[in-house]
Amino acid sequence: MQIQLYSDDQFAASPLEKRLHEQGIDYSAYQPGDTIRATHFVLLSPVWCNEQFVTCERIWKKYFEEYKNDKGRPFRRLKFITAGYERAEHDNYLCLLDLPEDLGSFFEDALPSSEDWQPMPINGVDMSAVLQRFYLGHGKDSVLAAFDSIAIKVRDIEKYRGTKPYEKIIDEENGLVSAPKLSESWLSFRARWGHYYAYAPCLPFYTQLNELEEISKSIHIFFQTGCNNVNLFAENNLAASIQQIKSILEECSTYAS
Amino acid sequence: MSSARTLLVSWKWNDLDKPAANRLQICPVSSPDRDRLVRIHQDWGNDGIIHWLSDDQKQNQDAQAEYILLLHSSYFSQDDINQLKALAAAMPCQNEILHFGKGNGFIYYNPKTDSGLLDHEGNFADAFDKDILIHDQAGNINLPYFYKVWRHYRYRLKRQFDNMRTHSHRFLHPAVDSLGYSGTAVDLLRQHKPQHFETIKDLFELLHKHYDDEPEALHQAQQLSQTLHEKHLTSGADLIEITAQFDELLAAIQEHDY
Repeated sequence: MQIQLYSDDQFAASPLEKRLHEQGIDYSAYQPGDTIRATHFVLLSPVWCNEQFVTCERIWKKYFEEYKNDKGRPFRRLKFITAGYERAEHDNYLCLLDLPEDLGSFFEDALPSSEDWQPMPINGVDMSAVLQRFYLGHGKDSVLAAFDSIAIKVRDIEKYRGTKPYEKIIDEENGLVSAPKLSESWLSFRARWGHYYAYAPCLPFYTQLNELEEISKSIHIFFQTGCNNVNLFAENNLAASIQQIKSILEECSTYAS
Repeated sequence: MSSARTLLVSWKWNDLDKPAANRLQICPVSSPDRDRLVRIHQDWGNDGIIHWLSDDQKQNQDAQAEYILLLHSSYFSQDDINQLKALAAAMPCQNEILHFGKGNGFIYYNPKTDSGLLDHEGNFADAFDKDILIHDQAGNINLPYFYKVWRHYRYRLKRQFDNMRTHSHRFLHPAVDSLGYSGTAVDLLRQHKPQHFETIKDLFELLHKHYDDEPEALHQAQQLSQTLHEKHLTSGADLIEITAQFDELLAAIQEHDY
């Protein structure tokens, strides 16, 4: 049995760590972005993230339902446990104030993540709803639709920049792409993304979101300078970077429901 | 007379959604404090709203005047909110700019608690349902309806109590269980987490000052306060009673969402 324990507050986790230690159960701390190498993953909930207590257990449960180990094989026996201060009984929930005498048996008896069960509800800002707001948008455009329009324009630039002068591609009147509009769409995406990225550390796909952030920062200069400099487009490998962002957005969108 | 409180609500407002309408209406509240609700059609957008706020606070000449701007999340994005916050921060008045809708819907009328102001269609909740008495006969908004919405967005007390429940447990549990501290919650927090202690004290004061129409919440707060002051903590299990009383208090505060 190998436990991985995720708590944003190490002091808060210390009573549980003490008990695990006393009972000779092997455990290690999980930090956002770490590889998961455990038979049991324990999440202390709610998580203090972006200046508020958020609950993200439904997202983690869904993540572990599909979880594959580092060799790409499904790991259907992994058990996901939440721990918190709610007084409740649940096969996969530990009340920190009243820990079971025999933690080993509790972990043995917990249900595997691949089975059909719902995590114990815990008070806090529901990250599933936050993620939904990010993806569905605020009535104007979903983030995928908004990003798609950026991706199409970038693809057009990539397609023709070898055969047409760049100035003609982005010519305001007769060109394929309006540089100011493309720049504006990107800046709007960046602002929206920046607001939600603050929540990334509490999510299981933090690595992907972090990668998105890094790619996005690296190509920002092209858009920030009005999309007028074809050298920045080429140097920053814009077309491939945009595709990478798009696929990360699509991959993570499955958790927004 | 205390300073005026202005609740500005910007969304689709059906009756203001006509080409000839000026798309803004100031609705007085039946209170002695110059409270008012400003209905502003969402088409005014960020620029229109910020100009209105700027003009109004200049006319008002009251640095203590408080404004809460509630903007519907289906029309105003987080970027809009951030932009408005940045502009309003420079103004010499207290103001708060928030989204409503999609997970933050206390402003919608809830028959269970007889609180809230709006229906879900773009109207005051009593526009078609005459059993709801948001307006008095003179057409002013009845103060309790205004005030419950105001205080929810102003203090967000339920969320703050919930946060303090977790913050204090995150300290008290390891303190008594791992570090071997003992004492009442108040003693331990005052000594080791003075900020948490002050926050909890402030929350109790806010509750007593602004929630005197919710006797059950006041009663539960008194119970919790007594336990925090008197219960001697020597192990994590001693916190179970405090947890239960926090839960009772949270259940008693009649706010149906965060």
